[in-house]
Amino acid sequence: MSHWLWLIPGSPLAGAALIALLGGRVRPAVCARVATLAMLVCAVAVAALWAGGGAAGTAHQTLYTWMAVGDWQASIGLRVDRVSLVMVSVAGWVGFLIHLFSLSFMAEDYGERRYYVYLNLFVAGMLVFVMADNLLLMYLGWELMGLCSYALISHWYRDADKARCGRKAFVVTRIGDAALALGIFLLYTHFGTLGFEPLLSAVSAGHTDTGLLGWIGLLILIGAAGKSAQLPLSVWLPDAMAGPSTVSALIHAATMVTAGVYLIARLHPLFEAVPQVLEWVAIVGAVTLVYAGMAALGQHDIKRLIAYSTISQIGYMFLGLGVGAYGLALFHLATHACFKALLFMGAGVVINAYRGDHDIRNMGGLAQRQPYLRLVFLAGSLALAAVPFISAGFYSKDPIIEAAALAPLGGLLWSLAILGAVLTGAYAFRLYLMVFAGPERGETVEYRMSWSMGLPLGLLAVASLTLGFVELPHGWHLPQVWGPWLAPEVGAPELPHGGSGLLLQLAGMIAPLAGIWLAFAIVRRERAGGGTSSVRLLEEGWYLDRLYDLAIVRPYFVLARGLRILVEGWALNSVALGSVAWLSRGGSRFLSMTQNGNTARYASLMVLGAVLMVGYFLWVR
Amino acid sequence: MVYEPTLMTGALLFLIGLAMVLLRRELLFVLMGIEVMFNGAGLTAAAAGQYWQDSVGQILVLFLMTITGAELAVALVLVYLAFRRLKVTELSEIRSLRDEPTLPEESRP
Repeated sequence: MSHWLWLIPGSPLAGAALIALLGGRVRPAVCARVATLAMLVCAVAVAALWAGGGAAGTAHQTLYTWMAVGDWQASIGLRVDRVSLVMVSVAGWVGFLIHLFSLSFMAEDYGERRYYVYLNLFVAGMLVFVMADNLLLMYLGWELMGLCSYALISHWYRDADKARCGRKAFVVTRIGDAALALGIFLLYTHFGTLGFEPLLSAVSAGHTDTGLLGWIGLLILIGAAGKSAQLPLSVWLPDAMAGPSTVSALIHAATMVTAGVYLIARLHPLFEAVPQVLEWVAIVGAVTLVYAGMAALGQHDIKRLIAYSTISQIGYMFLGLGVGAYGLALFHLATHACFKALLFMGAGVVINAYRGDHDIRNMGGLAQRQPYLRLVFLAGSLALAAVPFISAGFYSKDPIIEAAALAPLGGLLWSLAILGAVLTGAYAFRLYLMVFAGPERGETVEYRMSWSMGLPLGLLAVASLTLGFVELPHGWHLPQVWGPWLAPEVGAPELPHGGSGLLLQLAGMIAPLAGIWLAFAIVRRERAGGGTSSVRLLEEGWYLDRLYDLAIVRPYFVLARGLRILVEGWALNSVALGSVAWLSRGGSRFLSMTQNGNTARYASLMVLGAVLMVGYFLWVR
Repeated sequence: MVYEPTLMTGALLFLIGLAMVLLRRELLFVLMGIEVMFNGAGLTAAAAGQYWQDSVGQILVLFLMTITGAELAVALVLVYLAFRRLKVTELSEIRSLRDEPTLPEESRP
């Protein structure tokens, strides 16, 4: 099987190249089919990898020596172990479903060809990122995703504000990218290799200065936080909603934001060598999940609400990573990918049904008009809220909360996580109730979903409800598949046992239900014109955007303008360039006086030159 | 042997030729001036060959005469063509290869 590993990132890459080169000659619908077909090939290859024993061992394939300098070389090598197999499956399968959904969802849009090029390239970037066997190739995939996210968020670039949102996403994630690059440089200077296997075994050997490792871990954490929209670099994600809903689904579920989680899970021996940094990962996750959960409660734009919910759920994954439960973080990543892709694509249909209106305060009672959409959206909301027993979110999220209780700072982390669980229930069902429940409100249009939209939603809905059964809660004496399967790669987390464990599980079950109960109360208030969307603090996302605007963006623009006027305009253009221009123009005028076409003058100048030269050789030397 | 008269004559011939090149206006006279300059140089070369007891000086003079003849043939054709095409016989009237004193406005950077 490992001979065909290249097909997984290769087929979307080839699809992107094909559409970019030849897409102008065919109808846009053909481009869409080519892109979807490329993803189908990729998804089938992933399935074949599972069937061919990919789940049992590590598949490795070196394709090409990328560069070789002296005794150092970087190869384009693919490596799939169990951790990356999870990511490859999520990116491949959910990515394929999103492509399938796009077929008719984006059919009446402009720029379809561009859209599919970048959509395919995006998935290819993610697959390169997760399958790379060295940090350099991984960074290539990482940057590819940054580029594609920029291009896709500002897909409707004719709207200046949407183009700005794309730029914002690019610039904010770039901060994280720079930190990650610095971390990679430090790793290379210290260990002299970028391959994962030699690098991680060198780290595990434990002869390294922990101070240096701490700095590396911190830089990688900043990089991961930038890509995964964790505090303090979370501001780009709500604005990334400017793109089409399918793009949001792709960014939030299958690719991009989960990259940070994978990065830390991949490099977990490094983080385990410096527990302080790992603690910071947990703290960042816990604070972010509460921050974003509260901000989500205040949103009235349907997509911004789901965006904040993503930040919050990624916060749970970071919390899981930070307390050493890497397998559980990956589990939550997989279930989150299913229900978040479902919610975003469902939100796209909702927006279309309401003639492009994003404001959930104007919505209501869509259940009567779109019964199928209501069912799948309910499944997604149940999974997001982590309703006990029936949703996958419960099985993946609850163990993270329990594992947090045993970590250092456990009390604080657990309280934040359980508060976040209440908030999650509240905002998930606030969204669901506002859109689907109650009497019909707002102007709707008849919007029929084709099979290529309904099928992905249905599949994802089923996955959102049933994926959790692969890891039933511990201590119930029921089969557990996921944790033991991943344990050889990432170890098994410690979970509370006995009475306290039962108590924590009970709390984890009650929290989302309490949140849902809260949601009913909030929606009643919202309908009356109040509710949480009237709280400015929450609606503005704790004024974080405005704070950055005041503290960083504006001073930066003032600095840039000052530099433009003083340094570029005056010092460079006027003084430096001006004097050069004056000198050369004057010199040219002086020299052109000699070229007046008067042959006698030329001759006398020649004589003068000869006399001077001869005189120099005779007398001066 | 006394070299001063020979060298002085060579220098004189050279200066006379130079004066003709610089001061005369007709193309033919300028050419003649060039020939005179060549002869001055040739005379000096011959004297120098004598001084060093070396035949190179005389060989140089022979070459000089040959090349001067060839050069003159080409130059006379050019003078003739200048008269036919440009209707000029004077050196100062051939000025079409001059540089404009200032650049045109639009070609500035």
